[in-house]
Amino acid sequence: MAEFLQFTIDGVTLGAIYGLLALGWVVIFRVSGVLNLAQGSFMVIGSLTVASLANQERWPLVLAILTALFATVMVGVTLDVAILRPARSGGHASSVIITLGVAEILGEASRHLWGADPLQLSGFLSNRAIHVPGGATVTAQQLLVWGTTAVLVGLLWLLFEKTLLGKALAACAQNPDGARIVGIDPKWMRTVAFVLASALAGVAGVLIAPTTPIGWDSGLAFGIVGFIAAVLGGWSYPGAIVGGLLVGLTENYVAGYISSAWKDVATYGVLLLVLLLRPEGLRGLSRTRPQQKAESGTATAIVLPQMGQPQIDGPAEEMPIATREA
Amino acid sequence: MRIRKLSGFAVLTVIAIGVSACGTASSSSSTSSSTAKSASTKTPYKIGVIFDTSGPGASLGSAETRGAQLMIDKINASGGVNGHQIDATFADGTSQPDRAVQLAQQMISAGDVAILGPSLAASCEAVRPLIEQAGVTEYCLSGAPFTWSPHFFATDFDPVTNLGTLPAYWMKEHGYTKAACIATSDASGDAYSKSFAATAPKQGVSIVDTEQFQSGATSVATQLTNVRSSGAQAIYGCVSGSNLATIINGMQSLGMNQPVWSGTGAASYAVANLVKNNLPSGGIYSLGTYIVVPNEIPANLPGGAAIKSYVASYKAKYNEAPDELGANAADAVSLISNALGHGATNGSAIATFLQNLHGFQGLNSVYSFSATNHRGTTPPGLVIQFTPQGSFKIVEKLNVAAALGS
Repeated sequence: MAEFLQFTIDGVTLGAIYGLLALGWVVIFRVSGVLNLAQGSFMVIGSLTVASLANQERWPLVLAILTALFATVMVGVTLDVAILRPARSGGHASSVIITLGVAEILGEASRHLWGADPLQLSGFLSNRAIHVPGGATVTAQQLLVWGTTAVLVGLLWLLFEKTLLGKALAACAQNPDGARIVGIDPKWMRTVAFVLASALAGVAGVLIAPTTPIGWDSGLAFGIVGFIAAVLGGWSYPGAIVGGLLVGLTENYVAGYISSAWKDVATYGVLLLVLLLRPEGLRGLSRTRPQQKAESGTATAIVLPQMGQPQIDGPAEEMPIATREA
Repeated sequence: MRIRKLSGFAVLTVIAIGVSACGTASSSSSTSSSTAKSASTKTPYKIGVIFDTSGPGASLGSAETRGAQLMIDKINASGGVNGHQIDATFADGTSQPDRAVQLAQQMISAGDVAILGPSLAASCEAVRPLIEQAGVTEYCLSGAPFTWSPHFFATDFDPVTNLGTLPAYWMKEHGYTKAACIATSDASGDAYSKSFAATAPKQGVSIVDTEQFQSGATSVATQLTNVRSSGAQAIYGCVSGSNLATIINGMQSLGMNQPVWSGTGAASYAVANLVKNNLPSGGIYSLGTYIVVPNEIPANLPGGAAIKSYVASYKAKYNEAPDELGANAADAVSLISNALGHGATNGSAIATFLQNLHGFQGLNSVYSFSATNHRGTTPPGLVIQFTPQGSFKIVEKLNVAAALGS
């Protein structure tokens, strides 16, 4: 029982980080159709920036955190405005190739900036074990990860449900041409989506920085796990968090009860099963009306969600990718 | 229009950064004897240096580059080898065997008589057929287990002794009869865990749990939960690099305080700084050399002055303390230049000279090679402990002969 509880606590912590990354994937994809493989690199930049400023440059922690978030957002905005915007109209394949290239460039740039050795932020919250009933332990940093993730999910809900900006983002997700007619510029909404996604990744980077050494080459692996969580979650905002938690828990249970050698096999196996059997992911599991299946025929159609979902957890309206990208 | 201009400016900025980065990389590939060439009219000795300064082996290759460069600069500044400057071409193997092969071909074609590196075992093995065919000496910088061929040499101590026998002997000496090994699921972790599994029972140490994780993983709490349940009295971190910090972080979050034996590949200042705030009360120990504890060098230690000089020069040039990786590379340069200085000026002659070399005092070891031992090293048996200051201290000296004899 103690083992199960421990695996669960650690799985939820890891899953919360994955969930924040997945939220970034979902925000960008739903608003713009871009699959951003550099999402994990944003997180790494956040981690390395805060660790180097706080540990090596001795900046006050709050200032180091704010600077890390600012730097991460600037990288995200630069990717959108300077690289993706001029390259628009290439479709999903184009965005995948471009963002994959950017992830590689950001990795090498990080190595030049921060060196080849990983960095870990010290002096954040205590990493000492707090014993909980059931024989497991939890740390203050883990509690911070859980709490921050919950707060961010709540803020995102408020943004999309209660603000004009959120509704404009949702309008772009549903119908960019229609949004344009009512005066919303989808280009700028996509930039806003990149700001949100990179800020989420930056927060994830700051949260994970005190718990483990982060290296310049960690970005792509984190990004892909975020993608898996987004797919599992059916590309919905709540689904992204649930997907992240599922990935984190699956990794920990498999590593704990079977073997850590099978951890990734299980994660990618679950992804394959979802893509084959339920391409819409977790979305709609609780609904009574049947969900529309994604168009078959291309890998993209299987992996990617149905487009247009203005509500934070509302049902999807079918919109062919070709129309979406026109 | 304004946005387009802004975008164009940003793209140009990115390109400029990229170009400046490329410029940095290419300059490190340039020869290192240019400043001293004018002082000598003799033809320089050409050697190739393939260290992995990007990709997964980047932390190894970066330290090795600094150590080798320092030693080459020192030799050239003191007049070279019998008046010949060392003309070293540095190149990044990118941690990719195919890239290492490509570079080795270029270096062999350019007339290099020896190749230092690559940093990783797979790349070293990929280069081996080329150097054997061309009769060029390769001095691989990986400590992985190898079989020997005429022109192939490698750095570091015998892996079974270093990774298995001595850690198990230390545990036995301290009364730890139940140990757990937590290893990375790669060649490095395999080398540790297999060496330990092969030697621990002979020392009376039983391995009660062996766990694996991917190098670079963010958490090993799950694996450590199993270790905690196994009743292990000591934990062997069968890992290299910052993976040790991941283990130590996990131990702290689970309230585990067993003594940890660290893989030698993790006993660097970079890792010591990562774990200094999270040390378990049982301590973290590893094998080390005097390079990482220069303040504790005995007055009468053979080669002690050279180690102190190297450490001082390294700190002055790079503003950081050196570790064994750089010293291994510096020793490789010294060995090759020693061969050149004794008239072994082609690849096969260098290999023959090295194979018959005995008692050569290097920074990390005294080197004595043979046809069946192309490492030539003997571990000093120094046990170092990680300190809360992010450094090391010597805590004991193992009886290596007794460990190997038992």
